Amino acid sequence: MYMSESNITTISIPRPLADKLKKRIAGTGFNSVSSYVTYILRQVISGSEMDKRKEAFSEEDERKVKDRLRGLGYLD
Amino acid sequence: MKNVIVILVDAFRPDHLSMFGYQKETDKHLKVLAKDNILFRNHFSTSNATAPSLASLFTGKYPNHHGVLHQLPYNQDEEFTNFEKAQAEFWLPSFLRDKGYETIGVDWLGMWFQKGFTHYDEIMPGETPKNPNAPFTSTKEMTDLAIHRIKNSTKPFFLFMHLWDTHFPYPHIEYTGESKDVQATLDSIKDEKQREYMRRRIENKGLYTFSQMIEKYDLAIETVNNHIKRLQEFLMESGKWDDTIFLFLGDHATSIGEHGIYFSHSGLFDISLRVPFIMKIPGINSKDISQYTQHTDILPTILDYLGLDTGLKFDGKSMRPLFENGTPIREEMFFFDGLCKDIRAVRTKNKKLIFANDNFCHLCKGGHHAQIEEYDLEKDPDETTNVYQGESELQPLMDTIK
Repeated sequence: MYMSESNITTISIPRPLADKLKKRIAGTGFNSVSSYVTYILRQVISGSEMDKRKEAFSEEDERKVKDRLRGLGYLD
Repeated sequence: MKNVIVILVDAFRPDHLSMFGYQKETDKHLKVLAKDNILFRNHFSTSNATAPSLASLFTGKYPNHHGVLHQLPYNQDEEFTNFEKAQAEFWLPSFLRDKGYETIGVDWLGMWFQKGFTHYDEIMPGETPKNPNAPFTSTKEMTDLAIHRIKNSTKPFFLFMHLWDTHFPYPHIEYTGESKDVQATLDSIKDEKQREYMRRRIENKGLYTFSQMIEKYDLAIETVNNHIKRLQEFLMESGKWDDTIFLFLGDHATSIGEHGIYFSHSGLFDISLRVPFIMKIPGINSKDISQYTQHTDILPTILDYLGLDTGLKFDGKSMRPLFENGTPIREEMFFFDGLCKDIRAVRTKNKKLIFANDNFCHLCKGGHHAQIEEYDLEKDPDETTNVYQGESELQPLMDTIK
């Protein structure tokens, strides 16, 4: 994904951790520690938002949506 | 900051509007709106179903990139896992809310689609639907809510309103017709699976003949027309119209018998993909556009005319070149069937290639496409004759989405 310079900021992490990450990405498709850290953080954020959303959809909510879909002809 | 309004009309086909040549004037106000603004004659959805189409509108991506390939409830778990990731990257309601907009959603789908909305509902606070047995709220009630929310907004607003009155079985539209011969209607459907599917859907719904159903569909369009007029008049009287980007379009279209599909929209035929689209952008003169545009192009266009740069790359393109000097923005379009298991298509101006990896239709339990179909749209715009003979010049494009 293309990102403009104005959309990038610097975050500090301990150097030993950065070194470990550098070793880990050797031979992978990640071309920098930054791109690997960005990837990991996106996974974390996405997973956490998904958990919240799953909690937010109750079985009752799902049942209501299915009732409507049935009324519209999408479900028997 | 300009306000933004997106009105999505479900199962909305252009050829039932007089501005597209229909014999009835179902669109008395809409055609004035179109004449004064930008009318698109060849605008296409990315899918024949609501969920993938809506996701394309607000991510600017095709279904294979935003994740939602199918209509609810036929999604695989990974579709929404992928959609969550796509939304985390970019989702128009969230983006505009973060930019200071009051984001107003008027719809019932909820779930993932309500993300980023300050308000998301379908009926005025404290009220109950007038027809609680209907699967959706009427256009009148939704428009009342939209006006209420805008009246009470103290910030620039983004309104997304999804109108369902044009969706079968038209529960808010009253029209009985002269005949009640349901059996004759069912007997006229040749395909057994379609006949059974129709029987299940019209049972106890006050639906009898195709002519009555078409009349109801047309009356539903007139209803939408009347309430869009009411909304526009409110916006003009309150001084908000001039500074508002306004979009009015179908999420997908529908077949009312074409290709043996009755009042449904399975399959990737143009009849279920081409939708009416009217757009108003402050400062842009009226236009009548025949070049091809698709749902993926809408988001980049909105962002362009709001002057908001995301630094992201979308599948669609801003329509600015089209408006400024008539330069086409796309030569090809891609489609994903949201109601059948796995069907994809690519279309250029004159040709369409459809590839059905699995053509099982979740709705009628039959199928609507052969494994590979190709149509010569110049000679056969109604897509009646499959001309595929073992190879296609569109194959390289199809390979990009398989």
